[in-house]
Amino acid sequence: MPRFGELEASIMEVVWSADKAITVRDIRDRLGREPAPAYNTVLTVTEILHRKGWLAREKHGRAFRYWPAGSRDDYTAQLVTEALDSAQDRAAALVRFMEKMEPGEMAEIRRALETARDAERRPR
Amino acid sequence: MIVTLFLLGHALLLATAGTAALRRAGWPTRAPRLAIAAWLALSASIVGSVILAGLTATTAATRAGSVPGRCYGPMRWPCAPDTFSGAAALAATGAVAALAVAARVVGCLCAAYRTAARERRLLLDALALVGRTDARLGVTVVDHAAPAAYCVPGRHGRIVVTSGALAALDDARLAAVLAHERAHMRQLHHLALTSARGLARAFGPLPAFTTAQDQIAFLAELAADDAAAKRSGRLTVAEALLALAEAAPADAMAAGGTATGARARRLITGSRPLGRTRILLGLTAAAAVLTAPPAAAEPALSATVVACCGSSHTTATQPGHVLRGARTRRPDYSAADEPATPLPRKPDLRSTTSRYRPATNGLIIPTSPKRQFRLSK
Ligand SMILES: [Zn+2]
Repeated sequence: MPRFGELEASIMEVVWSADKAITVRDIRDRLGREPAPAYNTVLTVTEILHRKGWLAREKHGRAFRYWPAGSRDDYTAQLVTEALDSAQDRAAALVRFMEKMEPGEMAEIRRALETARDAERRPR
Repeated sequence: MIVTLFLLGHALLLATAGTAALRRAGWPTRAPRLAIAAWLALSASIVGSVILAGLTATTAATRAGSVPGRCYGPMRWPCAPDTFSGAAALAATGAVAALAVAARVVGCLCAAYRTAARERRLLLDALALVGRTDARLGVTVVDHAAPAAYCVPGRHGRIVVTSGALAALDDARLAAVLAHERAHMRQLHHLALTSARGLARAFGPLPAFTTAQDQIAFLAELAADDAAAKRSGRLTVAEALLALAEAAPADAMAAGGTATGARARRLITGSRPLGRTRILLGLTAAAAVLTAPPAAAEPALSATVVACCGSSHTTATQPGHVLRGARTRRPDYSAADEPATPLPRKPDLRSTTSRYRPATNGLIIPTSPKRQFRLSK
């Protein structure tokens, strides 16, 4: 199972920080790497990101221009809400620590917990 | 046929009374890992019984319907020609049912594992981009106000904690949460969960499998809670649960008691773990439930294999027991078992020679050629 590569992450950073759709040549220039990776390498990885659904693209003249399919915050929110959402039937990809509770139940548990802690502290 | 009915009855009993009894039993919360094994054994036993029922129906019908000349199976089924069409239909039905159930199970299990792997990959990709690794804690932190902690299981698995969760937990409670998540990974709960999910999808409306799925999900949480309680103390785990729940937006839909609430109450009250003897007893029972169907079906299935493979009698009697000595004069054919063409009888030769060369006179073919060579010298 290949993990997200370092170059993929760098390309996403470049595309996220750009204010408009950019070409592969722009991405390569903005990567800020010495030496800069080969154009074909950047093109291949950018296409992989497009195929994975991270980048959208549109043809401008002879070259494609790319922009992010979702903002950084979108992905962050997705990582959190999917973990918190108990209604969603997820395919056991993750096992979450807890689900949301209703206020009355939380208050009841809080009381039981305090009683138990008191009993523990009190010398027998 | 009796075996087929037994297997179907076994499956039906487990799917109804067995499922209800296991769900209502009190011990699973005291031994959650054993209970997970019990639910998996129950599910596997139901599926196995149905598949084997189909196979035994086929073999029984094949024996019953086979042409008279080949009708010398140990069951001595009548070979009346008019039973043929019914037997053939039964054989076909059994085979198709067994094959269909087996294919559905394998297909749905594979689909469930593929889906889980794909979702894990997507999560890991997103985490690699927007999460940051906290080397000290050994977790991936996602900057988000909502408190959440979870693990992405598997080979490249990792524990994910939001910055909101880190803010809501002190060091002791955070340690409890991490111990809980590590227990999920160590005990491979995702494998049990994904299998249960695949089976539930395979037999959609059957409550036995959906119940198993729900129960295993809950029991996995209990098992992880127990591991965390052993390390951090049960009240600390309960406090961590409550701290995260209170920091999260309340859910009005979750009225009437949540699984998380049940877990917290169990941690606060404290549950006496099941004794070693009872655990062993439970494991034995689970193993028995699991092995009963194949054990019941094996004689019927192997008998048919022998009957269908022609030279049934030489394979049925063990050569070793013929070779053992003079006491065994010839393989024990009963008169009824005599094949159409009788084997050559050489009683005189055998009775005289057997005293000195007790093994054989070439009538019986020993299993290994090397041995045959040595014995005939
Ligand atoms: Zn958990």
